[in-house]
Amino acid sequence: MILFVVRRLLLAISTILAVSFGAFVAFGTSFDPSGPLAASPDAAAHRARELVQAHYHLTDPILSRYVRWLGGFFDHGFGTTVSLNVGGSPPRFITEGDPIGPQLMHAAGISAQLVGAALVLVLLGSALIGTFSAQRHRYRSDVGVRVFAYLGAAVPTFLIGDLLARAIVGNSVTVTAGTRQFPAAGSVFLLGPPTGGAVDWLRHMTLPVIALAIGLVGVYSRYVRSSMLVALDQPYVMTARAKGLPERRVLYRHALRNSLIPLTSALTLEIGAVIGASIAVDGVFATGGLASMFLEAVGRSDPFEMTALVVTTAGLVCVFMFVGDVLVALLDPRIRAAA
Amino acid sequence: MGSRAEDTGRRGPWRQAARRFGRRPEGVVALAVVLLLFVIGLLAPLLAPYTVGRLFIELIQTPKPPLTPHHPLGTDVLSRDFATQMLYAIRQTTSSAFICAAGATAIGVAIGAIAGYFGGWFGELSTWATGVVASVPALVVLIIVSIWSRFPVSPIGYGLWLMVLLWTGVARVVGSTVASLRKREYVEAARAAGASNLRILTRHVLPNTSGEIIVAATAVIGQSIVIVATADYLYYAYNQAEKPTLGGLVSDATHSASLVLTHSASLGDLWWLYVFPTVTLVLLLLAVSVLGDALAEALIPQRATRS
Repeated sequence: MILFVVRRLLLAISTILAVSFGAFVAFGTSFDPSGPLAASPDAAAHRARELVQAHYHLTDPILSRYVRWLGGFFDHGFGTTVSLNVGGSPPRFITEGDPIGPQLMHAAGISAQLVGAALVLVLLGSALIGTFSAQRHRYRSDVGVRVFAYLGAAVPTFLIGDLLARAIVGNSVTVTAGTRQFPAAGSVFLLGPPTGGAVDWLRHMTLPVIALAIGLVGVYSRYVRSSMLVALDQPYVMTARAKGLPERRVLYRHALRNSLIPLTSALTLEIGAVIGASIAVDGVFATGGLASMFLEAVGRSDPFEMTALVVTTAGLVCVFMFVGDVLVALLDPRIRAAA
Repeated sequence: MGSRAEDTGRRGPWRQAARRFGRRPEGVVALAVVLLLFVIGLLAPLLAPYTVGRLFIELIQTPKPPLTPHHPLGTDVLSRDFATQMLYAIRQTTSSAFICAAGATAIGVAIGAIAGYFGGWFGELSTWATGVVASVPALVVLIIVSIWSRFPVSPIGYGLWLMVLLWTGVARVVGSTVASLRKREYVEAARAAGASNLRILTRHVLPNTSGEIIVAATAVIGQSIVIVATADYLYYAYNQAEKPTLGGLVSDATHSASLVLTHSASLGDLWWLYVFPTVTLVLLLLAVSVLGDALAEALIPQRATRS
């Protein structure tokens, strides 16, 4: 088990390193944050731009910039945004750039809460609905549940979020980050980031979590249903029934446990898409997660900030993948033995 | 394999698959809907009554409901003909989905086939690379691309970017299928007959994965439609008059009413601006997902789930 965990950790670290390299090179070569200073033709602005370029090493070869950034990361994290607030003669920085790390970590935390809560809901919901559907195989309730599962899986997450957000704020309003409006008075649920406390968290996060989970429950309840149908035909289920175990125990302890393994590993493979969908939900409800950071980065064209955002998102994906892999290993002893 | 008695005989595998597909009415309907929307997208410039983005200044501030004379789907808050906007939005969505699916399938098949067939260090490396690409959500990259270009990205641009990101699913499926097929007797027989690796792979192994490839490509179409619509919805740019998108139209319906109109209007008054793009998007996605399941049952009968 320890060997398994170490291997997975190394995989995650190498993945994040590769993403950081790709992101830094792509953004570093295509964005020039000192661009706004080139707009005015006078010599002072020109000297100011040269100072900014020299200070942030914007004109160095991209590989040496990456090595510098990586070294800086181990020293002081993501550092600061590029400051263009330069003045005086000779030019010097009047203010430093804003630190990237703290705000980013806060946003990543909110996104992680959103995704984590939604995944718990997805695991429970798919297991229950899938088992229910498999048990009533071909009955009317099974067919009805499957139609809803299909619909839930086909409607894009941002649309589910948009519809749910409308339910809170009424119909004549705009519901995206930036031009946010206040919810109708007396509403239980609120838009915007949670501000502290469990009750407040529930008021802000319940609808985003549900919006994120609905589509996934639609996909994975069908998954559980078909693997439950296979499992219920297996000899071990017959043995369990022949021993006289109650049906509930046969279903949940024997058949469902074995169906949860493919469910968890399928969900782990799709984590990237889930986190992508969480960004859509976050944008609709303005919960203050990574989406707001991405949308705020519009026009700033700061390669350091963009790299930090992408690396953090990939890091979030890797953390959830790691948890999923460990869960699968805990559920399935064969995987532990193979590692 | 689970083929039924009536399927056997002298019919080839494709004919058998077509028969199995034809027996499921929902799959046929889904295929018809998908094809219809793709053809509408292809022919949008011919079908559209007006040039895209044209303003009817006399109607500004007074959006007309559907079935108004000269405007079958009404006009939007900026006085553009909504039928034209819808047609071009469908064109944008379907063309980027098509480009993305074609490209992602080509990349995924190439990488998956080589990794699954040869295994070894290239297999390990491509599994790792698949994991790296999959750890960056495609939506994030599309939002960055939208920011980067500072103007609406062309459907080809979206398609190409998504193609670079969404091949991972195809590569995984093809890799594992090829890895399981390469130990079959017919591969051994071909090798004994002196066939080269390339010939075995392209003539013997890959044709036997065509079912999996088609199903995976259908899944990519669905994913790319969702991601493009979400990116357009989130990174909504107000000057998209000439490049309407389904996601952008949904976003338009929620934003522009309060930003453009001087009098207040509730969404109920402007329902068509919200309902048409939303319903089209859901219909397209529902059809793609039903089609994917029907294709999986018809083309990969040995993996068919009971229903």
